[in-house]
Amino acid sequence: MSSALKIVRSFKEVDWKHYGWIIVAVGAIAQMIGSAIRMAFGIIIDPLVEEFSWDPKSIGIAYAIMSMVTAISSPMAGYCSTKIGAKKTMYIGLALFLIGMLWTALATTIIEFYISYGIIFGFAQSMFLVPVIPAVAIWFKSRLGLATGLIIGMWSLGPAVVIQIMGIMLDSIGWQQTFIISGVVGTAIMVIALGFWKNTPEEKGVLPYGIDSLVEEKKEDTQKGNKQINLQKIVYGTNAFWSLMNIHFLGCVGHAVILIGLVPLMISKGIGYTDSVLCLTIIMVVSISTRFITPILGDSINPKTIMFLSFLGQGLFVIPWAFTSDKWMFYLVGILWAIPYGGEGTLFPIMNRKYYGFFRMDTTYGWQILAASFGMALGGFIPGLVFDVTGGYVYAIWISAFFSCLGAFVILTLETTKKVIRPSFDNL
Amino acid sequence: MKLEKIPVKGISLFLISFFSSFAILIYFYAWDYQNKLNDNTNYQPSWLQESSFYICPLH
Repeated sequence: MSSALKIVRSFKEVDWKHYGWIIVAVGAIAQMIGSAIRMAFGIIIDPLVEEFSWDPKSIGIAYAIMSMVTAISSPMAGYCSTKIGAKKTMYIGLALFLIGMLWTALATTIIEFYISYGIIFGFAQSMFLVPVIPAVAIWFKSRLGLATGLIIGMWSLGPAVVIQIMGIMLDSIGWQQTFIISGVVGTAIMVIALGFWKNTPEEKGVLPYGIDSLVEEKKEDTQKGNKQINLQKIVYGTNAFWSLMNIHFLGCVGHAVILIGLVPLMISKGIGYTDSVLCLTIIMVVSISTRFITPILGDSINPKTIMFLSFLGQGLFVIPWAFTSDKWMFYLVGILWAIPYGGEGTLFPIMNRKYYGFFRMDTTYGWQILAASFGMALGGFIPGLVFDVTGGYVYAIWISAFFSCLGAFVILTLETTKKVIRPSFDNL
Repeated sequence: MKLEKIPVKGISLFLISFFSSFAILIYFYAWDYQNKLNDNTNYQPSWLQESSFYICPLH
């Protein structure tokens, strides 16, 4: 209770005039556009079937290609951000985003669609998503939890808003015009926003948030390329690097199974389609708040404990769904499950900071996104496979619980977050 | 630079997750094949179903 009060009181001490918050705002816009690319897919399936008579399964392959390309290119995007800076990396992502939007709108064959949406968007997404959080981390010696909470909160809220707008446009001007206008407007917004972006506080001529003196800043100076690359080799040699990747993978399998399988599970238990979708919507809404709060809590209290509780909650709270057929029970469990689900994936930047100090985390974070993307792909695949074999989704629930609880177990094996892993990171 | 020790614990747990994922996929693919074979003895399996059935000790 006293910790919670301390956190609330500390909000009054936040210096909102620091330029770091502009970086957070630009990062949030980039995340919004980057994640909207993925979410926009659902709304173009029907128009594509109608116009080209492609079957939905073939169209779905484009989404799978996009997910795989994003996963594989994430470490590359992280490395690129370390070498040339987040701003240039995001400009590359922006150029690919515009090409992808225009080409998708003009595509007439399924192969063209695979290239424009699958490959080009796949690269665009990683170039947008990977550099943002690590770049923001450079700006914040303290208050990283609040900064990442704001960005990750927008990550969930953004697509919800963008999809609504795109849905309305689609009805009135058609899918091709929607993609062209969204691409041009999205690019224009990002060009303006990136104008305010500075890769480092040094570029802007200010100190990172939470650093009071130049002497301290000198000690924290980690921006030099070769030093970064050498330290990255040390990161690869730590248990935490492998375990955090592993944990991100396990957590994503755990919730992807539910996000893909919950609506069909409810329908298979005799609950209507609209009621089932409402349950998923409730989960999304509740999880936005925990996405925002969890990094702040983790940064202030203990990220390892919060992460463990989130994984355990994500694993255990799904189990009642295996036994119930009652709509209200689904809703109640949905609300309970959304709390740990929202917090599960948001603590990785905080853990990286605790373990590796004020070190650039671009490449490390890129690897974690790779693991997460593979987890999402596997988790998304499991419900369909389980249904084919068993004619139901109950086994999928147990698989989800198994992966999340295994993630909780791996968290227990992590080192303490009270000090950096190697003295090398202390001397940055 | 000093040679770092191999992070045995982290890599081992990573491999456990990796093989657990494969074990689950193999189990369900083998089960799927068995179901389809029970329904139709002339069923032509995909290479994934056939190899999973071969590997899975429970089917």
